[in-house]
Parts: sequence; structure tokens; C-alpha cells
Amino acid sequence: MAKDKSQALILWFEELGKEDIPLVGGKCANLGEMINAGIPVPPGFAVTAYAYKRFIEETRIAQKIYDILDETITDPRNPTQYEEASKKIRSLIESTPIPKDIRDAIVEAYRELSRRVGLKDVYVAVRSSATAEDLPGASFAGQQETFLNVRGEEEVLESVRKCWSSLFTPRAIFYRTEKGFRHEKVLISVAVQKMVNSRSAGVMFTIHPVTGDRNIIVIESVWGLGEAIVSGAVTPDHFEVDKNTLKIITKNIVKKEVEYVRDPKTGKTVHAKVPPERQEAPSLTDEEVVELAKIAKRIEQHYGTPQDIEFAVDRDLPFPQNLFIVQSRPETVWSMKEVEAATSSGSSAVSVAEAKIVIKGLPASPGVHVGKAKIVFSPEEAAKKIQKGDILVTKMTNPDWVPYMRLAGAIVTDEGGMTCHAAIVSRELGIPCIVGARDATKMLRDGETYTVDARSGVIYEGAVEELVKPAEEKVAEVTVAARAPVITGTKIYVNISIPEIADKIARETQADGVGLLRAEHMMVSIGKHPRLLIEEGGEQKMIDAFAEGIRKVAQAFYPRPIVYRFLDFKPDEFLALPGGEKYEKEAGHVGPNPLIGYRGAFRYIKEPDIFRLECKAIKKVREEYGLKNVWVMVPFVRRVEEFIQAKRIMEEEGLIQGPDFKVWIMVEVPSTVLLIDKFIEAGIDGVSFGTNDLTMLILGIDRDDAAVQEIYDERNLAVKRAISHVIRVCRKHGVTTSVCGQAPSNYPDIVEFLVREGVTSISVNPDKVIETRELVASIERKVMLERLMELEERLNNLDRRARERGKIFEWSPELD
Amino acid sequence: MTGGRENAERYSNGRPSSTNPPTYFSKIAHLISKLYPRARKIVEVGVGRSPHTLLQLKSLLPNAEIIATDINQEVVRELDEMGVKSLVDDIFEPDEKIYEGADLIYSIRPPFELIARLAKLGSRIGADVLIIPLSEDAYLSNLSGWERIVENELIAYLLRSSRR
Repeated sequence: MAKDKSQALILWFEELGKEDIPLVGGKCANLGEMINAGIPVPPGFAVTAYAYKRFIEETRIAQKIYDILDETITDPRNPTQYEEASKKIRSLIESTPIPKDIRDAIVEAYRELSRRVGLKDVYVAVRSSATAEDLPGASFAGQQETFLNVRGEEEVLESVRKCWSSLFTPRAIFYRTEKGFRHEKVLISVAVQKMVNSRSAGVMFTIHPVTGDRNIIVIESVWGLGEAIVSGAVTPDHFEVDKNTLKIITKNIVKKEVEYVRDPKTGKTVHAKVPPERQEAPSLTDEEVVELAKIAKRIEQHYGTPQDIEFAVDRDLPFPQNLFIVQSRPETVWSMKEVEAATSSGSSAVSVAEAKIVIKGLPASPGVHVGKAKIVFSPEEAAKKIQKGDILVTKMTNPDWVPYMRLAGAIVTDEGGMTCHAAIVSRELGIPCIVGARDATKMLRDGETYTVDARSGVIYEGAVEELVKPAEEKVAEVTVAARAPVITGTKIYVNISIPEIADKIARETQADGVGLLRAEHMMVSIGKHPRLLIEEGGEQKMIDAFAEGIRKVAQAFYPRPIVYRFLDFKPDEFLALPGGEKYEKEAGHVGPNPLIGYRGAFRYIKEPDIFRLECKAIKKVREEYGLKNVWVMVPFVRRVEEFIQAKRIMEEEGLIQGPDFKVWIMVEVPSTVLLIDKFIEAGIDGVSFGTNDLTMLILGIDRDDAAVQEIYDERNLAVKRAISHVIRVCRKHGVTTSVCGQAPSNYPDIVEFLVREGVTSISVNPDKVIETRELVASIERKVMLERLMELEERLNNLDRRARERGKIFEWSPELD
Repeated sequence: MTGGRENAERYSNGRPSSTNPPTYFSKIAHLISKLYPRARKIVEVGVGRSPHTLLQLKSLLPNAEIIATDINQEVVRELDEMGVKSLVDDIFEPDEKIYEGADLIYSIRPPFELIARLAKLGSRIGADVLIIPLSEDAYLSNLSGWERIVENELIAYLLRSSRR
């Protein structure tokens, strides 16, 4: 006979499914779902909502609770009233004895669990699971209580009762009022689950929690128990995995000085110092990261929506049995809304170039906000100081902070990663948030005005008008984008040489990034030959001017990549700069044919001091402004050695290739075509075809010689074969290919050729982006259609052949 | 309002220089004076810190009005001090009155984004447009209307106005 679940006091996880949310709350129901879907979760049971209901009814405290709520909360906007009501109700619940049959049922289930795992008095985690908690559309990050390392019957009972009372934390009361849930309708169940002996633990999102990219799984982990992440006490290691290829694309291992562990003597959770040899070691191995990503993918497939998952790695078990999923719930932010437009309550404004960076952290919830900093260390202090639109600055938030977080215009915390409490709640509330800013509570001054740029994780002194303004215009931008969302598989990038118009171009073209940021005009703006500048001691001037130009472009397109091409003046062009006569001509750099003379990569390794200035500018933008979307491209590479040497100089300057720093070369000289495999071996991440020079050099046509101009044509078969070869070899090795020359801007048939060959991106002039995108979209559709038709034809042929064969068989008897 | 002060740094070539003019600029001045010996008005766009062409052009074509524009006020002020008639203008939002009646508008190695703007301006006011581009931007020869001129190692592109 089927068990009547609705009257049960205890239900084991394996008996549960998502239809049981009303009985055991979302958390327990999910655990049941997961066990039944073959997702590894530690075993345990639920103390049902029915048990809680009987507890409050049989002890006659239910009516008292609702009376306290009605009497105490008279002004729903006054946070202190929530606190007062909470205090009264919780002490009432925690002092009321549990009826005997309920008590016995809990104790018996705990004994059974210990028996099942073969331990005496197993350590368990006791967590509340409110029945309205995980309803889609209402994320209650960390809501209500979790007790870890609970051991022994009495402690389990005590923790269960505390979980019941946690239904009435100030924040929980606030949330229900805010979301319009009636208090009487919300019941609470409690999950009692075996503790993982946690070596490492963390959080996974099957959608990028900051950008909303659904192709990425974000994993954050720390040593010890996962509590340290959500509470924000430790900044976690950060991994990003490509959901399709299951390749790790980002890996950021940070120093982890503290961990939460179970004290072997008392069984309590304690903060411990991480031994030095483990502090900078990754808290997950690569194979664990990939296996976790697979599990995350399975969970998302199972539930059909992006998930927010807690996991733990057991110290005592071998891989892969050591991976446990502790919890999973729907990710609520991106499934409900788009990026919020930035807000401002700013005063007098300064420009970004003048603005002083006070501190940097991890961007956790996008947006820009100008406001007054309020440095607060407790919810009580927040209650006194936080006014609407203030920047809430603290070490880390927890659920009790939520009413004040809601008032804040931006949130900055010293601690935490992308999945900590402050990050999750601010994303849900749509408030810009920077976490892990280390000394924000020390560096920011109370009451001063700052600009929080939570897109790049930078906090500036004063109101930075430039940052806020484009954000205000964003509203219009979004509508434009919404009107014509042409999506292409091939990325459409834009070429730029004037940083000052980058904002406008980013907005108007909606390009996927900058495929070519030209440095030459920045040099012209400085107005001197770089050697003359160095002679005059103007190195810093060049670094600052270049960094400023690159920053403008990177910020305008953030988080889309921008590819900076190192200075590619030809000697005759350097000659025209002041100082050129001496440092270019007299130095013997100007040969008879500048286009194939002293230019590109060869210059960088011959005169590394100039090249290093460009590297320093790039580093400044990536580190000081936190704009990690700046990549680089080495032009006019002739030999593999030049690339290797240029790369070495970059590394010496602190520019290390990685998932967020790609190094491309330009394919212009035929040697790069012929040796593309060798360049790939040397470590290039991408190539970009400079079709002008490539055509010149393959066809042997001097671009400056009028006598042969009429046969100059980028569409020549020789050029196309070269491009085709490079794309094929690169695709085989996962190296990206792009085009930044003029050919795609001038010839639609070149665009079609490139798309068919499978080029990764096409970079065109600003006025060509929109039409190129449309053209590429139509070509991609055409190609897909053709492939379908080919497939159909092949099937038809097979069919016909099969029929013909049939006929032969029919005829064969007659032939006998 | 865009333009004006906050854009002062935009695509400007900085302060005018007193260094000896490279022969490059001299070649450009000679080319222009040869192409437009009877010009009444010529405008250089984005003159920046290299007024050499302009200054030489003044002596080669004493009867022509030679005007310089730049987005940088500082550049314009200093050119004024050197006796060159110069005006602040943003080629992305040009004040057409400045260019009206010009026989020629020219620009030396402009950022490539400006080339299309110059062509548009030329056609609106009926002036020819001459560009001496960076070698990278020498694709103008592929675009209709632009005429390629090679003279004395100098490569220039000329867009003739249909109204002249």
C-alpha cells in the first residue's frame, strides 16, 4: 500500500519528488528529485512541514505567532519592526517543547541514517526548507538557518527546532511581506542530511551569473566547507567551463588563507588557517572541475532551467565518488530580467582620465552607480546610516542585511566571490555590486561620493560623468537592439582608430567586439617619434596616452573583446613624425620600399624598449582599470622566431597568455601562411588576415606602384587559397581566425567566401558593421539551407539506389 | 550637447611643432599647388601639430585663402598666433559655413574613420577632397570616384566634385 505522505512526519529523500514541495519544501523535494535522477547527493531525510504544523498547533503557539506579527509590524518599510517581531517569535518557538511522537520520529530517523552509513552518531547538516522558499521567481539566498556538523540525538532535535524558528528571521518576514506571501501559508520543513567530510566545497551556476551567458558554467570553490563562500568570508577560486565542449576556459586560483572546517574534538565548525602549502593551490583538480561541470549540465537538463548548485568534495572518498551535490535551485536573476540600466545620484562630475581609482574588486552584479559611501559593519549600524541611493560598504552581508541592501544604490564588500551572499542578492535586486574588494571598508571614506563601476569592478573617487552618461543612454540602445536582433554565428567586429568615438560606435553598431584597434593615431596624437620621446624622458607620457586611448575603447565595448594591434607605422610614416628625420632616416630605417621594410614584429624585437611601452600601457588598462577584455595582435610577422621573441617580451612585462588574454598574429606575409602550423605550435591564440598586405605579397604587387594597380585584387584565387589553408589548419587546432583588412568591407563575395570557410569573426569599418552582419546572417542561412538540401539529396539518392537494387532483384529471376 | 570642450582631445594631432618640416609635407604642398594653381580657398582638416603643408601652401599660393581646422582649441589658438587662419571644428558634425566656397578640402593621414566624412562634406559643399592616407588606408583606389595620384613618391587620392 502506498504511504500517505501528507500525514508523514518523516520522509526519506528517495521517497521525494518535486510534487512534494508542499510537504517538505523546495530544498528537500529537490534533493529527492536529484537522488532519483542519479545526481550524487548525500543521504538524509526530511522532517515534514506537517510535523512543524502539528508542532505549532498542538502546542497552541500558531495564533500567538500571527498575533505578534500583526501587532509589531505596523509600518512595512521600517526594518526595526521586523527585528523586534523576529526576536519575540523565535524565542517563543525555541522555548516550546516538541510533542513526544514527533520527537521520537526524528530520533528514530536519525538512528536509521547512522545505521545506513555505518557510523555511530553520524555528523549531519540540518537545514530549513520552507515550502514557499524555492518557488520559481523568488530566490531566498541563504534564507533561514543551516546547522552543520550536528551530531547526536539531542543536538539534532535542538537544530530542528531552531530551523523551525528561522522561518521568522527579520529577513524572512521582510521577504514574505515584500513578495506578498501570507505568513500563514508558508510552512517549514527541515532537511537532515549526512555531512560530507568536506575537503573542498563551492557553488556552481549553469549560466554566467554576471553576464547571463548560457554557454558557460561558473564554478567557485574553497578549501573546507562551502559556508565560507556564501558567507563571503573567503574569496574563492574561480573556474569557467564551456558548457558545450566541457573545456575549462577560465581558471583563477586565489590565495585562500582561511577555511571553515569541522573541529575533530567538538565537531563544531571553526575557522582555521590554511597551511601555507595549500593557500595558493587550486581547491579543485581539473578533472574534478570537468566532472562537476558534467553533473551541473545533467542537473540543468533535468530541471530544464539554469541552476544554482552547491557542491562538496569528500576528503575520504576517491574521485569521482568524492563529488556530492548539496543543493540545487533555479537561477532567478537572468531567467527574469535583463541587465539593469545604470543609475546615478551624482554631484559635480569628472572624466575617467582624471578620476582616481580608489580600489578594485570583482564585478558581481553589473551596473554603474554614483553615490555616497556608507561604511557599516552590522545591520544595526546600517539601519541608522543607509539612505536610499547610498553605496553600502561592508565586509560581507548576510540575510539580515537585505532590507538595507534594498535601499542601497550599490554594494561594495571586502570579501566574497561571484557567488557570495552580497553578489547573489544584489543581482536579484538589480543593484550594482563589487565584492572581494579587500580593503574597501578602510580605503573608502564615510560620506564621500564615489562612482562604482560594477561592470569592470572599479571604484572611482567622485562622480565620473563619462561612466554614468553612456549608461543613461543605454535605455535607447536596448530598444534599438531589441528591434533588430540579427544574430550571426560568425562574430562581427569593428575596426577603430579614434578611441574618442568608441562609445558611439559600440552603441550604434552593436558590434561583437573590436577586431582591430589601431595604435597609429594615438602615436600621431602624442606627436613625436617614439625614440625622440624616450630621449626626452617621456616614456610615462606615452604609456599614459596609449592606456587612456585603449581604456576608452575597452570600456565602451566591455565585456566584448577588443584586439589592440601593436604600432604598425611603416618607416616612411615614422619619418613624418617630429624626430623622424633623425631617428628614422639617419638611423637608416627608411629603405626603398617601406611596405616591406623595417616594420611590424621585427621592429619590436630590434627596439624592445619602445615595444615595452606599449605592453605597459596594455597592462595598465587590464590591471588598473580591471578591463580584462583587452587582447593583442602582432602585425607583420615574418618568422616564427619574431613571434616567440615578442611574446617573451610581453611575458616579461607581465602580459601572460590565458583565457582572458589572447595573443593573435596578423597573417600578411606568405611565410605565416606556409608556416601556420609552426605558429600554432609557438602558441598563437588567433590570427587576423590583413588582406591588403597579404594580396600585395602573394601577387607580388607593390601597393604603391600605379603601374600594376589594375591587377591588384584580394579575390585572386591564390589569396583565397592562402586564406582557406590557414582557416582549415587553425580550425583543426582550435585557433580563431579573423579578418581585419579591407576586403570584406569592399566585396560581399569575400564575406561569403569567409563565412563558408568557417572564419570565426570578420572585422569591418564602423559604417559597414550593420550591413555586414545582415549579409553574414543571410549567408549563414543560405549555407544551412544548402547543407539541408544536400543531405536530403543524399538521402534521396540512397533511397533510389536501394529501390534500383530492389529492381535488379525483381528482374533477376527472369534472367535465370 | 556633444562637441566643444569635452571633445578637445579628439582626433587632434596635439600642439603645433616647430621642428623642421619633413620633406614629406613640402611634397604635399607642391602637389596641391600644382593641382590647384588658381584656387581661391583651400581648407586643411585636422591639421594638428603639423602646419608645415599649410604654411608652405600659403607662400606657394599667395592669392588663395588657406584655412586650417582642428577639433583641438589649443591647436587652433597656437596656429592663430602663427598667423594661420584656423577654426575649431568637429568633422563628425561639421560647420559647413567654414568650408563653403572651397576649391579643395584636404587631410593628411587622417584616422580612417574620417575619410568617408570628408567625402560627404566635399560632395555637400561642392569641393574636391584630397586625402594623403596612411599606406594601410590606400584601399581608396578600390572605391568608385577616387582618383589615385602618384607624384614624387607621394600617393594621394582625389575625389572630384561633380559641381566644380
